[in-house]
Amino acid sequence: MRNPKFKRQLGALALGGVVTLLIAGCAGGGAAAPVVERDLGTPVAGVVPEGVFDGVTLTYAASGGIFQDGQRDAAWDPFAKISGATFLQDAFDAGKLKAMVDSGNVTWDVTNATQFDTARGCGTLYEEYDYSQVDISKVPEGTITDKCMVPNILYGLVVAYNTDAFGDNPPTSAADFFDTEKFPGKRTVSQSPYVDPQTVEFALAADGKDINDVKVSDIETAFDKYRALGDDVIGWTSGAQAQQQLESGEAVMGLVWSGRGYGAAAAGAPIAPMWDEWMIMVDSTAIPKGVKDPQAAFAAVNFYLGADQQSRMTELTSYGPVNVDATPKVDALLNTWLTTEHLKSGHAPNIDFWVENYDALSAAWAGWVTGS
Amino acid sequence: MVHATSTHNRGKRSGDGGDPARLAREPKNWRPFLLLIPAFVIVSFFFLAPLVDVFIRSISDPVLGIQNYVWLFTTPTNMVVALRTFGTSFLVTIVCLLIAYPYAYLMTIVSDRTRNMLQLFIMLPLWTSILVRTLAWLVLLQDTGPINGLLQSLFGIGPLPLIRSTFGVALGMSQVLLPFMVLPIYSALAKIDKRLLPAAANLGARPVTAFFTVYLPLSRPGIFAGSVTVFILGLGFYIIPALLGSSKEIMMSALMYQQISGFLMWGQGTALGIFMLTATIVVLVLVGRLAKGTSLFAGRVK
Amino acid sequence: MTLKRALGALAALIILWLLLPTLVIIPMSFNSAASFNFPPQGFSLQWYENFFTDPAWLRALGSSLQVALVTMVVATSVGIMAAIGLSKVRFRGKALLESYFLTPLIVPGIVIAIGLYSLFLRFNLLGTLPGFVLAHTVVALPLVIINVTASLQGVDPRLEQASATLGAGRLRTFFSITLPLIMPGVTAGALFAFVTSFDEIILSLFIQSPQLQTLPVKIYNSVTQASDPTVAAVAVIAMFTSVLVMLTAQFATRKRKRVSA
Repeated sequence: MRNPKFKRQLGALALGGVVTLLIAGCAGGGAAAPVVERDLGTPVAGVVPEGVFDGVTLTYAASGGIFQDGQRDAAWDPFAKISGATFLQDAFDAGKLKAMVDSGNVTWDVTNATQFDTARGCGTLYEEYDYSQVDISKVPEGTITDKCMVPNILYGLVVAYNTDAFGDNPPTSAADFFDTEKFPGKRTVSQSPYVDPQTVEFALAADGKDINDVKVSDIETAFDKYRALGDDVIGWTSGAQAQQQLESGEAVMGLVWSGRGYGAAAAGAPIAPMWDEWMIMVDSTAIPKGVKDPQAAFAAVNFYLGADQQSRMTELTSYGPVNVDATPKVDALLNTWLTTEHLKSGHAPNIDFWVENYDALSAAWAGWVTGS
Repeated sequence: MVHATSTHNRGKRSGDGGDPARLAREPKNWRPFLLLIPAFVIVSFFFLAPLVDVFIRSISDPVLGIQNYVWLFTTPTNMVVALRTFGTSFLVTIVCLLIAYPYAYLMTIVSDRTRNMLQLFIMLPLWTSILVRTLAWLVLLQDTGPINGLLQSLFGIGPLPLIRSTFGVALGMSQVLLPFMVLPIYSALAKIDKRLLPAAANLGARPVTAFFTVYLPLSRPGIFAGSVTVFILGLGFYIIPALLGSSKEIMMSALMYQQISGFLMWGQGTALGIFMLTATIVVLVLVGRLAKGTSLFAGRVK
Repeated sequence: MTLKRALGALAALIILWLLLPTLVIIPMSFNSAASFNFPPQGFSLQWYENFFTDPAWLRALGSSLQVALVTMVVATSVGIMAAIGLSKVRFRGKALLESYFLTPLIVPGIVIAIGLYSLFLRFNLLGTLPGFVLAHTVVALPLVIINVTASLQGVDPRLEQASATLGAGRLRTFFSITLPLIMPGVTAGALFAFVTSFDEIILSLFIQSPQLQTLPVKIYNSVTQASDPTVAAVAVIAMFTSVLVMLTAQFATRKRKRVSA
């Protein structure tokens, strides 16, 4: 500090810091021009008037893979073609969503979420639906679990196993998943950054516990059950990785999304589903809070729910349709993976419990995915 | 390549700047400062400002206060992962050092042509994206991959845990970080007078003694520079531990991402980021104290 | 001599370890089966065909080249100015300022990425060319400064003084005297800047939007979301682009050595 020049330089650095601070602090989101309400009439699932959204750009954010590609081809692109809108696809990231909503600059219009996401974030992260703008009359009963969602797909968390590895004696129960003596080999289980309550529920169901009567202390019990598998349990952090582990034979069993099991089987791998104690999953189509053009977003979701769109979506992705009138043409392989055929042995999640105890779950999940 | 050869010049000429006679001769000139403005502005807006933003979030999300740092230091998972991150980075540094030193030494005793080749080979992988290389490792190292297949058919062992293990992570990381160790060591070794070893031998020192008492101490600046660079770069790795490790090898960057994307805890995630940043700076300052005259960037002798 | 041989053998092993694993990606890209298993099951060009017929992949390649070229120009111009400025000014905080310019190289990418994301969100810079270029410039700039500074130290200041004495202006002196002398460092720096931007992944993942996605972002999404071997073909193409640029850089540097010798 003896040297005045040095001081001046420090001053300049400090000034730079202040300027950047100011900029970081006071920039707000770009104020969007108020959207004119168009007259779309009474909504009918799968229908949008021609040319009503000329010049509108919508973005769908989801987790990619055949799932998102299939939805794009079955619904979003046809919607764009008829309505005149442009439909873009982006990779979903919940952290980004929160930053967008916080900053008031929401660049996504429709997103894929879980039932837990919308139940937790309804009104804060997600817009409440105006069901007068979306025709939900054909949506399967009981699949709308909060005001910020309509169902997106029906699928499941199922055990997929390698038929070559077990031959005539394949696993038949959830308990077999944890029996490494009778069924040797590695199992893959979700360790994705996204907290998954149903992975916990599966372990509890395998122990014969009623998942509608879970306690906070059961969470660690479930993870301990996985940990007890020792070196025989490996993790997947993305659906693609789960599929790759099954395809390569790296894992002989996996607790995976049904579509990923189907993906491995469709690629020619000897993989089959096991339907004991599987977890019924319903994804949500959710609209981010502060979306720029709610009417266009609702209209897109309304279009998505059409019977034709849903049939096509199922044919392309293997995920179950969310319109009861949908009649997808499915081949034998796809049919073995369709969760809608096995609803009896499936468990719907205990959403209220997980929303209430989310913090306990996420702390335990953090430990599970970081190996501590 | 560029770094290694140029360092040489820099070392020799570094005296110029401090020459008082020349300083006096030069008129006070403010114009060159103008040349620094664009770089200063860009680095301030697109590097410093984001970091300031991260810091502000870490003490203001969800509410103003230090609760995120309290969480950081009182949650066992964080400490486990932090220690693991330092441990892995340290391991990788040692591995790189052991591999790089003989390689760099070889570079000083071969012909110019061979040296250029050696330099090219060490730099070549630097310009293939980390993603591509990690994908390749994944294919090779998996349980059903060719290496385990070979081990099985030749020796009937395995499959060995080549991936989802510290081994896999360290292997992938050292391959990426090796150039950052070789180049500074090479530039330090190149400066050592080759006649010193024979001189030591003449004075009766055995080769091993001569190496440890003469050569190794003289190459210390390069070792320091290389080790610090590798260690610091290693702390921030994200993709390799995520793809080649299991949950038991996850490092700080992934933990930070998990807090932000998985749990929507921007405050806790950014606090982890500031913690990593601070750790980096502390390492730099500590090493700066320990090794006066060495600097982080290959051969930037002050 | 035996020591040299032993070291030579060791170096050969190290080189194998550095290069060979990456090269498995090449046979994988010609795999006829739709999987990442090695060895590949048969020869096929289908993944290359996929790449060259999929507009999304081609658009990503185009964006990457565009971003990398503009980043190269910006980072090189700004870097040259900074390096010359640093070589001419003398003050106490100079070392501090130098470190300030170089630190983006060592700060964990994800920390900058998170900060950039929330900043870009507010300024509507996500998925824009200026956003990408400026973010990439920050990480490319240090490499330009290091290389140009190295070249500048080989330049005799008396040449510039002579030029000034003969009546040349500052700009003229720069373009006719200094620039040709530091050209090898500039070339090397520029190519490093290009490759850095072309391969940059972490920052790009956060600042991308559907309007602008670079190739590494698309590769990353493909690896983590789909099991599509097209990515192997893309990786080979990206690898050869980078290596080509890198070899050019190597060539430029070698020429410089000959000149200065």
